[in-house]
Amino acid sequence: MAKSIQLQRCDGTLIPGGYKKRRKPWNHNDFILLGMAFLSVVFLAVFAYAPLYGLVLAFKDGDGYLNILTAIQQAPWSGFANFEYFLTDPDFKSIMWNTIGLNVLQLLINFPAPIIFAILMSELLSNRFKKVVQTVTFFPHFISWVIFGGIFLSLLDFDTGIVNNLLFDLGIIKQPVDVLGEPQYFWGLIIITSILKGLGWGSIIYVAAISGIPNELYEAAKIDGANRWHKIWYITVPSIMPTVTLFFILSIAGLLNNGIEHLWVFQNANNLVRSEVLDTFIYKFGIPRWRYSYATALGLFKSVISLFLLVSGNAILKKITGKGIY
Amino acid sequence: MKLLAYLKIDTIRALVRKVLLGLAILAFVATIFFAYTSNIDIDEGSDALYATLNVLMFISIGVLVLLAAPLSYVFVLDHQAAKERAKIYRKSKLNKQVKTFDVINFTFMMLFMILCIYPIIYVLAGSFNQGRDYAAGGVLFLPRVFTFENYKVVLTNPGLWRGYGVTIARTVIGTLTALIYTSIVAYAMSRSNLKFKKVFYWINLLTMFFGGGLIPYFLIIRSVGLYDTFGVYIIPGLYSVYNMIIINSFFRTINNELHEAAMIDGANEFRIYWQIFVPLSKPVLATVALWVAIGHWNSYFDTMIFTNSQNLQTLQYFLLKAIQTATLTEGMPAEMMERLSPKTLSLAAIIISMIPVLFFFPLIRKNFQSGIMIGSLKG
Repeated sequence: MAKSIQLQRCDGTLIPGGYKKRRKPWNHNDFILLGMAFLSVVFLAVFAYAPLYGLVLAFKDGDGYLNILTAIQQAPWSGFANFEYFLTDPDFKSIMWNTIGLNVLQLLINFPAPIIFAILMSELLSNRFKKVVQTVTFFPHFISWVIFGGIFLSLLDFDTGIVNNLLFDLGIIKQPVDVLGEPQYFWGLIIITSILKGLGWGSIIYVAAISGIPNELYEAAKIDGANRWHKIWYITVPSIMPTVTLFFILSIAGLLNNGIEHLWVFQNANNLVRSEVLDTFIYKFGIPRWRYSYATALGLFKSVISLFLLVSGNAILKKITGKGIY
Repeated sequence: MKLLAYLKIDTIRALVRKVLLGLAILAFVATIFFAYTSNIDIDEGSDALYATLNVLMFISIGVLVLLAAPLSYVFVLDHQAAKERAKIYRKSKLNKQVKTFDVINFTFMMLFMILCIYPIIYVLAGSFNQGRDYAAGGVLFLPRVFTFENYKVVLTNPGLWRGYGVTIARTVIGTLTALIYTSIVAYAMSRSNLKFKKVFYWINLLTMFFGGGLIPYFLIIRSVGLYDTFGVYIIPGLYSVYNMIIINSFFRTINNELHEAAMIDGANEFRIYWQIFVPLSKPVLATVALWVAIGHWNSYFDTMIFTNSQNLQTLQYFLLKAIQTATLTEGMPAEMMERLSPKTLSLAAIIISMIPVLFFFPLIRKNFQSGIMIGSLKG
């Protein structure tokens, strides 16, 4: 029941049809709601927006200051020197190669894997077995990378691990392989471990999407003489396509984030050539070595590229499918 | 009435079968366990121990034999019922033909499940094996030289218990506070009468697209005085835009008339949130709580970056150090070092730290249903 005032001319005559809505006065509930929503602003101001101010460190020469707070206040400006320093670093090429290579491989292998797994799971005949499969494959998601990595380190151990024992007994290899000590195995190791840990959990969204497809579609297709492949290709795949596109863009945005908790467990001094990525490099230089400015510059470099990837990925997808996320 | 009686008999039979089967499996496992342990080298095992193990083995064999007769009777009954059912099923429309694809699919799923489960068996076997013997390799399914010593050493390590304490504290406190904080914001954002809603919306959304990165974040943690305090585990995790959106989208499905009715009764917005919306959205809150709790339990990088003192080391960080460097054997007398190896010790530590997750996993499983529902909401 919005109250309204009739508008008048200066001489006091009424304007026909001239009504102005009067704003409802605020009551205490509006203030309560505002206070509740304001909690998010307080939090984000401190932990999301305030760090943006810290980005000025990237353009300063704050390396070597013992205290990061004095570094940001007192360090002299240095322009783009930190970025130049990184671009001319002899390790720059291999770090970028590892970051991009690992991510593209993960996108090509680990992104479609849960989709295929969900489709395979939907084709299982017994519902009970389906539940068992789900339960078992979910489990690795809930244990930490430390535990998972620890288990894998012992499985792949040079002389006691099962992998070496088995391959040696079968005669496939003549000498035990030091999987973690030799850089060429590192990428494969990362891909396989992330599939094992994430496949079941990653498929949950697609399983939900598939279970939302009305059964009548399949029945109609069956009457029309469709076989299993037809049903998968012409019904299941198109139906889950919106979900797939959404998660594809989201994974493009996270392309340069190589799950540092994952890599850190498997990284060691011997496989550094193939295992050093931007994230681990930033951590190593930034925190233990106090090279705050250098690491900040690297972080900024990374976020700019990810933002660019997000925007361009979205644009490409919009062109192909006609739909984007924004 | 007759039907009811039949049903009763059926449920009783099912119950009896379940109990019998459970007992039989238990007896079987016990038999294998005792047969196995009485025939291997037990570290510091005496003759009396072997004798008891032998007696226990015979007792479990006896139980197994005693169970055989009723079990086989139940199985025969079951088999007959299954035959009847199969007859009806074959004629019905439900009958699907099993094709090669199904066989391959089934095999693949079985193999993948084995890949998921086997590593845990391997770790269990290694953790019960004597360290020096383990170094020779080949302990793949069962321990070769059985010992509890690894567990004894790990369990007497003060670092493990401290880590456990810190991890449990941060998981419980962190999850509760994060849930309350995030859901309060989610409630406010779900109300259509919130003033400046667009402004709040954009302030939240923008943070999803960019961030300062690790070092500026570290700078903030230092300048607000959270560095090396317990608060660094709790306060930065209080709020997450992603979880807020999930809870918010559930709040929006709650009928608006409830809100209006409560308003007329004179409740204020906070009371409506706390006494109506929170109880009504238990499933979504439970699911988000689960995600947050798992995140808290498993994370170790914040310990590495934001803390310095030993008292704040979490369980996962303790484990990381135990795996990467041989911290578990530090300062140990030489004659103990001869029998132990850091490898088996870290395996025992892995098993000990996995127990809570194993314990809570059935509870997590129950949550799958709501998890799937929210998953579809997100899609």
